[in-house]
Amino acid sequence: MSTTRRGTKIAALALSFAFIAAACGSDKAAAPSATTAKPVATTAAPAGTEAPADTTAATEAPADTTAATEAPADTSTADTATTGTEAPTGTAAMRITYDISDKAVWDDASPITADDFICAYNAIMNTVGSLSTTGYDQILKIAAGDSDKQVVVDFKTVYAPYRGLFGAGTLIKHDAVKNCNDVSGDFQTEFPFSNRPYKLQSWDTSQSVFVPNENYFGVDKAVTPKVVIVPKADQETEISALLAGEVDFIYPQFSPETADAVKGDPNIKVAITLGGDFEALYFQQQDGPFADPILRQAFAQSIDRDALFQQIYVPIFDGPLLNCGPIVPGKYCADAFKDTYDPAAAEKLLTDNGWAKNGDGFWAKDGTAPEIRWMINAGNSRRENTQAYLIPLLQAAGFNVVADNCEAECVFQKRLPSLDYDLGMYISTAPPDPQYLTSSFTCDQIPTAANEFAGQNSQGWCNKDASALLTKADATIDPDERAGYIKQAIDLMRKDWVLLPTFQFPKSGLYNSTKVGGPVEADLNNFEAFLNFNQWTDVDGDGQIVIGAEQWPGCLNPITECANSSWYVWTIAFPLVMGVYDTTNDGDYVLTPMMASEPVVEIL
Amino acid sequence: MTTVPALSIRDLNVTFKTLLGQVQAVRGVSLDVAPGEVLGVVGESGSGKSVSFLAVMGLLPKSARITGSAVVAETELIGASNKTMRKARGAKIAMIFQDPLSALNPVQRVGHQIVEMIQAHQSVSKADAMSRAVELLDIVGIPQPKDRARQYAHEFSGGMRQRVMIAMAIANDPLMLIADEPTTALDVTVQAQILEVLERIRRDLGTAVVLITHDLGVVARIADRVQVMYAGRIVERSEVVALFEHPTHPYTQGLMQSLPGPTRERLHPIPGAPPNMLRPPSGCAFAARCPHSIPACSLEIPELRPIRGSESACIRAEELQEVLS
Amino acid sequence: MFRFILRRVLWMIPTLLLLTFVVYCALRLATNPLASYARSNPRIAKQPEKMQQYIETNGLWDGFGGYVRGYFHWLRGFLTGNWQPSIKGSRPVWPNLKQALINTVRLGIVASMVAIPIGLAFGVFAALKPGKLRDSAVNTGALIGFSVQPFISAVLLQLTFAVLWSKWFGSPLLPTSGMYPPGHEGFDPVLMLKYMTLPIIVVSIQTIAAYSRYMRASLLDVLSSDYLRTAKSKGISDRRVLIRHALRNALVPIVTLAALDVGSIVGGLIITEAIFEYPGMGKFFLTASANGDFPELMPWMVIVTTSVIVFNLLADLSYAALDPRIRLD
Repeated sequence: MSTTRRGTKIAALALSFAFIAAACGSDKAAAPSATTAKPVATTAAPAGTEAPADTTAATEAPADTTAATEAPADTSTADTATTGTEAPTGTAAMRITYDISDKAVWDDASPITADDFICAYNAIMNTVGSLSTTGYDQILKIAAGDSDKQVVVDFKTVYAPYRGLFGAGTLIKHDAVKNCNDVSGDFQTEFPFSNRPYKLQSWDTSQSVFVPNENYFGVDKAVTPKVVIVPKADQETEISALLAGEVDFIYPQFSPETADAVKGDPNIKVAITLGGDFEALYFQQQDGPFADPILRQAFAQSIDRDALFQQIYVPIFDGPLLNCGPIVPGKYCADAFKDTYDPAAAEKLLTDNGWAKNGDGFWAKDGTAPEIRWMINAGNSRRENTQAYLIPLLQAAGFNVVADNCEAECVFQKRLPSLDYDLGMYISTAPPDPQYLTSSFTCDQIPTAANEFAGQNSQGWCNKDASALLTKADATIDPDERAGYIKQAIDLMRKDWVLLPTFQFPKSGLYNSTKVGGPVEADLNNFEAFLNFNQWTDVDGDGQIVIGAEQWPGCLNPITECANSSWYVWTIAFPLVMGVYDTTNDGDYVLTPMMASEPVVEIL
Repeated sequence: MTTVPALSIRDLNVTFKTLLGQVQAVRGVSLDVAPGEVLGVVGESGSGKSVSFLAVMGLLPKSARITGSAVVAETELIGASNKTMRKARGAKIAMIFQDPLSALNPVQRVGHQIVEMIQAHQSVSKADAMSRAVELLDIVGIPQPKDRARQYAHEFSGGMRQRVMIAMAIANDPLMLIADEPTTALDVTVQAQILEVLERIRRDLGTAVVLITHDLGVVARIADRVQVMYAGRIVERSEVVALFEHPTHPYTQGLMQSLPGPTRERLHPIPGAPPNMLRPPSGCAFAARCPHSIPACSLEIPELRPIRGSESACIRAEELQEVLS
Repeated sequence: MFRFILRRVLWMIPTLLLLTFVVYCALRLATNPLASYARSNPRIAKQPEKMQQYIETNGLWDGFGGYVRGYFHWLRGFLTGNWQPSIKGSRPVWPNLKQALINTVRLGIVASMVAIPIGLAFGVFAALKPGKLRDSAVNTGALIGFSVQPFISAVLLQLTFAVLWSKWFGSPLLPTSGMYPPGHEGFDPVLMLKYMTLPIIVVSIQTIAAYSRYMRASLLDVLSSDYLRTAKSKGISDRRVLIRHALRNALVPIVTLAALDVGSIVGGLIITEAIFEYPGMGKFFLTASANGDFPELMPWMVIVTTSVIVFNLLADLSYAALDPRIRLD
């Protein structure tokens, strides 16, 4: 009998260990799909190489990207800023005066005032674990102006990307938190205020429920009595739920499979627009073979981007080849990367500079044919296909290219930041403001001890002129002048062969036209995504619109790590809190009804 | 003893369907057991001795085909309906088994198991059945029967368990008790006690007992008559004293010689092995191992016939008896 | 019996301590809470004194000695109710964990209550005619049931009862996922049951398969036992033989297995919950582990481990209660 008991005891122990093992095992397995949190630096000027989850390889650089938006650590500014009673301690270079509309009120009818701006500023600067202080750390002083409906902000420097400050999801209703200097303990289970058409009635791990904000002061009031956002584990579940009529709208990463899956149902509409995501090939040029500008140029000129596009991207979505550079079409794009393919010029360039093909048919100089390590994240089938397509062609052209891949985490967390590759390929997201170019392509953003290896210039490209142009652009208020500087900087990128852009990724919205109507497709390309859902109509008359979310925000705090997720800002921060500007579908800024007039910018 | 026999079997045949073919386990067994008589049934493993009586009890698996007749107290058991069978089993004919530990339900109190037996056939209250069970335990010689009734099988010793089995078997005063190797698993001293219990039951209750065993010593102790089985048939049957004094069948003689005894210096095992019952031999099944076999033995199956007060199924029984005695 | 329970409960303490220590070390290594925190709070990560403060507050010292110290630091906090908040948004862990636990237990209990009896019935059905058509049918069914992984059956069921059903008949028969329809608030057992139907079926398929096999084997074992022959020889009805002797005895080992299984439910429905977007322990675990959220993972592990250990004890007790041959001492 005792053997039986010992048997069960051992079995129990084994079982519990098996559990833990199983649990840990599934941890590993689950991680890729679960960590697809798309980091978007939201509250402040958003930017950075972002890695949207594509269907095959879900994980791409999550956390590192946020650092992209950040100015180097500046703890000295993190001291408590008071509400403006103090005298300024430095010279102000720029002053912005914001006039808040008299009609602008929170959902409890209390007016939106300068205190709410100041509270947001203090929270961003002083909350432990504040996600990003970029831009706000340039502020010298913030105070109410003539009335509590006016905010006067003094900047240390001229700060051109100011439209990103006090944007959507940033303001904090000052009396809704205990202490504006530390909001890390607030927003635990509720988001207690709104100045948008909807307010958040309830939120938990299974749904967010939005109901109309009766005190909304704008014209585009809430149309449907209830908007519900529910989590859906993955694209398959999401699409099943859409087909089954459980959700009315989903916003998945675009893939041809998605469109195929819903083809059978005539009620499902698929809207595709080209958004801010783009893919490119990048040349690491700090050291290694591409430190030699001759080889780099010849190599870049040997890649037939048109053929690559036809081969890899057209089957995904028949759009245009991307020629802009690290940016998407718009006012900063001058198609600088048109016509890069010129194999004859490449061959001539190499021959003229003392290169010759060796016995293996590879270009060699001084007896060595340098090996070029092409790094992608293993498991991403599109990139693997690209390697399979291009490597033989490049080898035939005389370049000793080898695939040198590793897991997503290794690529984005280790090798990219340490510049441990020669050729790279990944997706980034271009936010509305081009300020991210400064944090990704200037000399002082090359990872070094000086910036604690947190710099985002993973190409190691340092062109003093380009850096100066980008820095100047950030301090130039006039939009056309600013765009001019940026275009010049991008021209230098082409000249120095920093990258080869390939493809602007489509964004897709799928919806059931028997359930939801109105301008569903109007804002899909918006950085703020489907923000206009207050105007959507409830076609089937069930009193609610249901949106399926691919990822679920684990918490609600707009200042801390919580905000480091696209789905958080799309489903919580943006739809609840209006700022000075909203973004438009075309990637521009537009003044919100909260403001009485365009902010007045004075260069001092 | 011209009364109606307690058990009367006629031409009982049992075959098992197997993948290899029909195994003819019992081939034409007929016998009568008189009330109060102890009939010993002897044979080696596979001789069909247990199977015959399991067939009578209806306890063989469904793959068994049974023909013939077995009557207990005017009830035909072979081919009987479930209801008839149920009424007979436990009430008119009961059985005890070789290994009492596995034959008793391990998770029911022994008293309860006896009560179940009583209540299956008598409409008595549970309490009455229980006091009867205690009484029965007392009859079979279990001390402190009241306490013991509340115990489980594993709390008893081997001999005590077999007593419990016997108590259960006689709970409804059956005419016929079949004891299938009841002492095989027990120590020699305990064996004697169990046989004593059986003897007492036969004496006090008048229950007829069939004692199935491979142990001639056991038979010698309590049986009135003995029948010897070989390859599914009865080869010899006689009064117990007669059998031991002058066995008429060479197989019985072989068995005797393989018995240990005070006068015997060497044991003489019977050479060879029992026949394959898938295809039993056409004549005497023992012919192949028999030291006295003649060609005629293999011609046809010898019937059991009377020989000087015994019955034997050897065609040379008479001459052999003369030779041997 | 009482002394046995007391001793086992007392033994659970060192067992749990040892297990949680192992889990603590494994989780520290696997999630690297300091790095997770730094990743989640990039600005703090650049301030060594703040990081040091975080290390001290949360006991994240390095080295074996540091782990041991850290473990007891964690244990003190855990036992006194001072649980570390989630690294994401500093939320308290318990409210969500409690809700997840309730949801999972609800799903697990209902699924077990449905699936185990069905599995047992199939097992009995098969064992009564071993080798016959019904036996092979049940065996084959069980084999298929075993092999169908939850993620396959779940997707097939979603497709059939929601997607295709809504295509054929206009509206889905059963919802694909969630615990309530979107927008529903409050408690509604009927709706909840409807939403739990598919997850229950998915969990049930393998449970039914398992228990039909268990029961078949156990019952065949009993049916071929000597005491069942004895029971038949008593002249009691076949029904009584089957129920009082065969089933009763065949259930003894199964009750024990069931107790072990139920104990493992708490942490064992990860895949099903993930696919059906069911807010239970599995989802909680996936989210927490994706975030490397040590303060959430540790209590989860403690609950799962404790549940396994407690149900182990219950399994032993049930075994002893049902089988008098087992003595607890």
